[in-house]
Amino acid sequence: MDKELHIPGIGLGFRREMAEDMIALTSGKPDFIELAPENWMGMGGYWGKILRRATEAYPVICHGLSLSIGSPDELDMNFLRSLKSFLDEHDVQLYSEHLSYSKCDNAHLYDLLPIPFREDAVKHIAERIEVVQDVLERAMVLENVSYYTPVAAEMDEATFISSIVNESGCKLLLDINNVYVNAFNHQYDPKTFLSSLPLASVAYIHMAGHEQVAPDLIIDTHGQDVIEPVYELFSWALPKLNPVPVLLERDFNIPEMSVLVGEMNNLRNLAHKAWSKQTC
Amino acid sequence: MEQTDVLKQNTSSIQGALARYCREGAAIDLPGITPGRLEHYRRLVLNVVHGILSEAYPIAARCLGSSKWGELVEQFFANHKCHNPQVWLMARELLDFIEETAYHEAKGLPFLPDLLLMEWTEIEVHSMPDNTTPPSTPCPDSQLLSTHLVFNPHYKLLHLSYPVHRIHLDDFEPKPGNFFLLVFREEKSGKVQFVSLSPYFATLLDTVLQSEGIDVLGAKNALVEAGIHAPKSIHEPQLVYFLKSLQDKQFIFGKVA
Repeated sequence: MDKELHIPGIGLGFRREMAEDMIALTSGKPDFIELAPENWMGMGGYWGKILRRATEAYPVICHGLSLSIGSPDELDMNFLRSLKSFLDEHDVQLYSEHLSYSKCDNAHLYDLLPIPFREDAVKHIAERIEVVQDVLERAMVLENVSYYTPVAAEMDEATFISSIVNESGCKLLLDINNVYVNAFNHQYDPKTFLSSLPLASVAYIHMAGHEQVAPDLIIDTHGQDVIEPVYELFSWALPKLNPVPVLLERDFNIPEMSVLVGEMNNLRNLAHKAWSKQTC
Repeated sequence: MEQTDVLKQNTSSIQGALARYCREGAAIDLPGITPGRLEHYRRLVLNVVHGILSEAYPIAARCLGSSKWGELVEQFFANHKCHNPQVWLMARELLDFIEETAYHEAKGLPFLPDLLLMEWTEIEVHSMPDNTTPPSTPCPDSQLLSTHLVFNPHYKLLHLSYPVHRIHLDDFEPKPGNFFLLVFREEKSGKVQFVSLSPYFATLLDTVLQSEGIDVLGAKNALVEAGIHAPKSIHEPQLVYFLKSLQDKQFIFGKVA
């Protein structure tokens, strides 16, 4: 499955607000796009046409929202089967999700809640990853999420993530901005944190902006430009990683496409500098 | 809640408590949390829900005003278990909640289910999966009544009890009645059109659409057999005019090529 995951390059999150602009790009185009399957599954009409045009123009990676891998609830097998159909239809080779939960008591919350960093949660999630991979017939890639408070933790975040990767064999989506946000919010050193992750398992990288809402709190909004300290952390991490796809996320306060192209160029230059001896 | 073998009851309970706090807002005491941070989770969760519902139902949100609308959204999210993993489809569940709880009756908003249904139908028709139709050619007026017509497959026919399609936000005290609305998606642009129909035209159109291979005269005769007669003011010229207008609007694509 490793071979299937390898889609190197710099990508851009595909959102409705910028869909037409992204499809129309003639220069500075992303190497791939990433979209949330839940926002496009079963969609006909205007948005169905937009999706077809986008998937004809770009390779597609999918980043899910509602799988809820860390939930106490049972996996939603109907949803998984629909998801597989969508991934197959659009020839999506890389599917990632969040290491969090978004559904509980049979009710979706549509946001990412922090999983207790505990050994039983590790085993629970590792079992579910196997099921998901079997149904989707794809390797699962899980993202380290931003969290604003630990909840009933019995281990630290890096141990939790590493344990899940080791136990399940899943791949890691390394969100550099989330590392920065968590390090700021929980007052630890982001480089030490990064060094303690299973970096050989990183299959994909996310970069994004955030918003500081209090002197001691950053919220992961994807609504601002990527800031310099996050670029620096990205540059620091790259030599420790295999060449993998890098995605720029921008979900709110979407600027002119030229600004996003500029940010993608920044990422491309940094990745090229770090991985110049390998294909990027 | 289903339990797996490996997830301990205590962990599951903590996760459930956090989720319930986000939905309902009642204060909780969880172990190992950073003071003042849980509130952000509820705020972020509600931001998503408010955003989706306000975008889906802009007329209802304005009609109710921010206070009543905000109360409805939070009541819905606290008391209804949203089952759809696709967040845009969560908006449909607001309508389910209203109907299941009779919220509109308790709040003196009898028109609310119809208003939400009309707004939801616009989303549904705009996004419904693409269907194909047989090749067609424009149908001459002289053949509209007696030819097998090809209809736009992306539509809904609504029967409303309040005239929410004629809503005026500044002065809205609708009187109940029988109102029919054809909602369909333009083939080329993907835009959604609304066409107000008289009860007879709505019934006739519904009969044609529900009966495979029937022409309009056949549907008219079937209605007569069922005891439903055209109003005295409606004769063949009016029927032809009605069908021609639907062809002009591209709800009728034409006749089978």
